Amino acid sequence: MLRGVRRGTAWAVLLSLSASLLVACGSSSDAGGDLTAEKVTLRFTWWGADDRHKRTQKVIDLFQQKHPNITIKGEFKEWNGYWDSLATTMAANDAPDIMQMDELYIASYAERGALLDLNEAKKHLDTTNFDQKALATGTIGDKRYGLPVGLGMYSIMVNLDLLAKYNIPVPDDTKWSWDDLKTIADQVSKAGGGQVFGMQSPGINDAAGLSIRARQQGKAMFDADAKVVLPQEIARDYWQYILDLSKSGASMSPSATIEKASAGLNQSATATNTAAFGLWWNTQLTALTAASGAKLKLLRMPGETQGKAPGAYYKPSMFWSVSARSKYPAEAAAFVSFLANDEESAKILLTERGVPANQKIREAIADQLKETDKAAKEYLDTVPVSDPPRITPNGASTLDTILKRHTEDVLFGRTTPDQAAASFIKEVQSEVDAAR
Amino acid sequence: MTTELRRRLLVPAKHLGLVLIGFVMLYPVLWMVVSSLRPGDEIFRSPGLILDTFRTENYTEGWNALSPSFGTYLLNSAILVLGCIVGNLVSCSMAAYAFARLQFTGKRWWFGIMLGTIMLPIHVIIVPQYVLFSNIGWVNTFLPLIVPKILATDAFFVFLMVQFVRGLPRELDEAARIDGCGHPRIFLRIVLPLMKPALATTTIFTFIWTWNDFFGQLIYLTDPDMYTVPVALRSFVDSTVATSWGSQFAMSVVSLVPIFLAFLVGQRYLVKGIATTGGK
Repeated sequence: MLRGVRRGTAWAVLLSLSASLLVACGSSSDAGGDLTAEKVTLRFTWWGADDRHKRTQKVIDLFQQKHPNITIKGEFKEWNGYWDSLATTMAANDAPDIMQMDELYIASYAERGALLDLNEAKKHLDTTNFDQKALATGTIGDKRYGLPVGLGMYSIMVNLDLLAKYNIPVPDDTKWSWDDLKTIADQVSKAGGGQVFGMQSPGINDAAGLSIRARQQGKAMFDADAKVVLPQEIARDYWQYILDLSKSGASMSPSATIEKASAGLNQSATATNTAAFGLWWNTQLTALTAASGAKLKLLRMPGETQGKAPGAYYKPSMFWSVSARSKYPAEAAAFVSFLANDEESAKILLTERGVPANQKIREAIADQLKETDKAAKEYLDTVPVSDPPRITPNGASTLDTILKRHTEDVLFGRTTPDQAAASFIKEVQSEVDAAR
Repeated sequence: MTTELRRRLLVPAKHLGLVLIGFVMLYPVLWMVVSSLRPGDEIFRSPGLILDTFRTENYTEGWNALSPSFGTYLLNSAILVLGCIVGNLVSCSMAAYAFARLQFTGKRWWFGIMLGTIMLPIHVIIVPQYVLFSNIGWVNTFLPLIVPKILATDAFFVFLMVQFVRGLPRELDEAARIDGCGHPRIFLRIVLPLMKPALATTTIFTFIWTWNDFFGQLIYLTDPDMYTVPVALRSFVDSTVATSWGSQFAMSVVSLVPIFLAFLVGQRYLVKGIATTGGK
């Protein structure tokens, strides 16, 4: 997802320091036992903005009505502060019981023994309505460290108003290629006369575009042993593509591109109606439509039919995880189950945390969804996917930052796509090795 | 005649230049104030300062956007700031008096160590500090943020005051001593009243720094009812979802008001305090 600055190495070091503290601690009480009748207080933490805080508090209230002896204390933070705070409280053995967890960090926390294997709490946690491909996203080996909350898929967001304005037909996304995308982006830029551009440059905010290109050719970023197996030529072609977009004027000048991309969703080229195409998660359609005021549509990724396999996959928007050192793992699991399975709670949360991964819930809230959310749900229901990639390994949480720096270097001509590809692979590998 | 003419032209030109530069530096703040009165979706589409709508909804929405309402955060910040100011004034002035006027073993050495603590980055100490406070059971109270101030841990202010006290004439102390004063009396009756500019500087800086501090408050205050202004303000922003910029800007304006007032009232002392401690 589109995100601000990643935390620096200081926090990575901090987290590894805390590793030593964590080793000896399994969960003391029984995750598979009965729910207690005593009064207990659980701490629940998440990141997000004000809308999420309000909705989540309502769901907490609902849960407390049904379980009067359990008090849930909500603690909300924004993305950067969240990880600083979580690393500190983990190190001090004072972590919240229930956490919102991200794909980038789940391996780091799980491999240090900080997260409960949710299989232990099966009795209280119902996962019957989850697709196996979706459940697999929170599993490492045979342990389930996170329950996916919502699912997202990478997509091309097209601004229909801009295409209509320049009389350019909407491309057929069922069999288009990356070259088709570039051709049409060039057309838009030409018609836009320096005000509107064809394509918001990819490769800046996350590594999903690169990962999808690799998957289309039957390759992957990491193998099961957390080794970087991305072929250098795939990375090179990706950066060459980005560079070509920039050189032909299909995307903005490098400096404008970086500026827009770093400023957050509201200031992106898509949100300000200055680029007709952009790579986004399908779940961001609602936010982008609201920000741009234009009519946006989700298109499939290009190159999906030319390659060996579809590159698209389910990306969990986030997970619910339970601390390995929670005193009340059974109660925590019951709360997670409530968040994931209760229809009433789903009707409050709707798609704020992404289109629900729980298929029954997804149908249950379908009527209540806005037009744009319905489109996002339909995209998720209809676009073909292949098995999800391996969870980002421990140490590679900085993957996006590394990718962004290399894209910048390529765009500003400080390095060639070939050099960038070699250096990117080497750097990611050394980050993963360092975390072992 | 020519010099007179030049002076007449030069002065307005200089002022015009200064006004322009001042405007450029103020632009972000002005833009924030103007944006807080715009509908949220227009904010990033119009970089100008001219308002075509005047919406105060951002203020009411922002005030009530989080639970509890923004008033709680302002109150929490105020309590915290007050505690820190009192703590710093009492403890730092006493520490400074000791370093400047008393003779004790290893004084220079201790002084060096105290200055060294300024250079410790927060990442180094935060985990042990958190473990400590969490074992005492102080997490989610204001104590971890206020109690250290009572122990003169803000070395910068100790240093500032030491420099100031060193500048006071020793003859005053000696006169007091001849009249029969001990150290407590010299400190309370002679040195402290003369230290007013340094105390004012400390008050204002403590106010601004505590009011704006985000990290410590983020780590130690976990319950939303205990959140302070900076932590609450950040809760409007999350880069993964759309942000209600309108509400955030409105509340930023609100949170700037106390700082602005503090500076307005205190800037005379601030300049005096720094000039008298730094100039010597």
